[in-house]
Amino acid sequence: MYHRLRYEARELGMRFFALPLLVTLIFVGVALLAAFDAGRSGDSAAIAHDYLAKGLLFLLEFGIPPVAGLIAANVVADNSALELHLSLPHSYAGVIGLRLALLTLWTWLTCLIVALVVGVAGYWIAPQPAPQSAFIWFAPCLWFICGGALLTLLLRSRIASSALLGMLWIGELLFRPVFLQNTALQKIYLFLTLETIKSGSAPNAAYWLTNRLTLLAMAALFLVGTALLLRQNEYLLGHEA
Amino acid sequence: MKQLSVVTGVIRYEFLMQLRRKSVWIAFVLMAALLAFLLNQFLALVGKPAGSGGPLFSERDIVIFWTQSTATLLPLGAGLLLADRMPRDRRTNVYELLRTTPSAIYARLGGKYVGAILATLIPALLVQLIGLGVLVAHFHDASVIPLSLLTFVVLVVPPVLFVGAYSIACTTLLWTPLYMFLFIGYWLWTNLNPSQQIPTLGGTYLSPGENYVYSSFFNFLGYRDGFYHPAAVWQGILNIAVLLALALIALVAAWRIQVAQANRN
Repeated sequence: MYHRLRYEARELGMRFFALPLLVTLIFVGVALLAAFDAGRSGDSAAIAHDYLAKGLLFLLEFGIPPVAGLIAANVVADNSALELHLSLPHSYAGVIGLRLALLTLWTWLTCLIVALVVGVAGYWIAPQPAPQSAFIWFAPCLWFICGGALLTLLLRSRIASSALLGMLWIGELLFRPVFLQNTALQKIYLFLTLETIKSGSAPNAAYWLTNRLTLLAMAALFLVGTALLLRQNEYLLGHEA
Repeated sequence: MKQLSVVTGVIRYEFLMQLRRKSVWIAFVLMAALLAFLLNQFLALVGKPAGSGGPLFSERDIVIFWTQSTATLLPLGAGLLLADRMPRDRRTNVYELLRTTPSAIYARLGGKYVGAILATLIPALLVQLIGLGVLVAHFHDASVIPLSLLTFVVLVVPPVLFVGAYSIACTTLLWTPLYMFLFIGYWLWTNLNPSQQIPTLGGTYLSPGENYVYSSFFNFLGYRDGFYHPAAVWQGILNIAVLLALALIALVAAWRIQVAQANRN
């Protein structure tokens, strides 16, 4: 099994694993710049601390999960020998499932390490207690990965799937009042933790856990859809939408 | 003259190819659904104060708000949907095939840019027009039509031309998911409020948010703290000109890179 996992990881390529790390570097860099700028312009150390802490929470909920979705959208489509593979007795759904599982584990691991470092360094500002706080990144990661994979298969186009994820990513954040003011949409708002902090627009929102569980339930549905489509050989061989 | 016929042929081909992609339409329809929620909220704003002591929202403000929403979301989608035009040619090995023809690289690149952009603008225009139809029906006032069309031409088209050039140019070299992440990050960064924590390109001539155009062409001030400042008409024109010049620079860079790649092979 170890050799199999190693082979699939190499098939995916280093760049798939490097992208979440690059995202981490960029978000940490921007958060440090904001904190440095606050310190230089005479703001108190508490404000600089708050900027850095917010930036790190953004990384966990808003940075890594959507990028994992973009990668997943490419993982399910990145097979130039699809016809050949489908003719083999080895399950194609199993192979793609394994690659998606590797990506998910790698993304979770990145988030877990970031969360631990943030906690130890004293920059944790999310109001949710442990172990529930793991849902901050666990749920949106799974939602984006399963959603990205399903969208690519449904549309038979990685670019359309990526474009939709990208527009959702920014659209939800920029138009968040639309989601937060609607009792149904607030349950599926992907970046709710950022609004539950003291300075957010829904501090300590009581529906946070419901939101996370709804996202996980949606991710489970997306996963079932992905598994079903990956077993439809004729569908997989169809033209790009 | 020969290259001109290549350009027109490529424009026609790329236009039809992009226009017939179901995924382009599906992406815009789903985004239109999100925008519909926003439009519904805007309609309820007419006659209400914009903030403590601020002006009351007029019908004209709502028309501009609608374009502001489409201008925030649709160029982002257009940029992402255009990001596979070059990589797709390479993946399907069409790029190598086309290089054996007498067509010049600049003619194919220019044709691809114009054709794909025009096709991507059509669903964006339809979204804008559907929203406009709702506004006209709600206000019982057709006089907002010219304003809405003008806002689309100056607030949506230049950003699409700008991001489209970079999507086609950057993916000549960059891995598409990496480009997408960088582009989305850039889009968020440039749409941030300039008065907030992180220094941003928002509110500068380099920003496709076109703050100078909102202020100078439409006198759209005072609704978002620190976002829009009074500006002269020439500043609005300069804002658009800088975006178009940056798009041209991206295309010229992509052309030179492709020429260098062709010579190396």
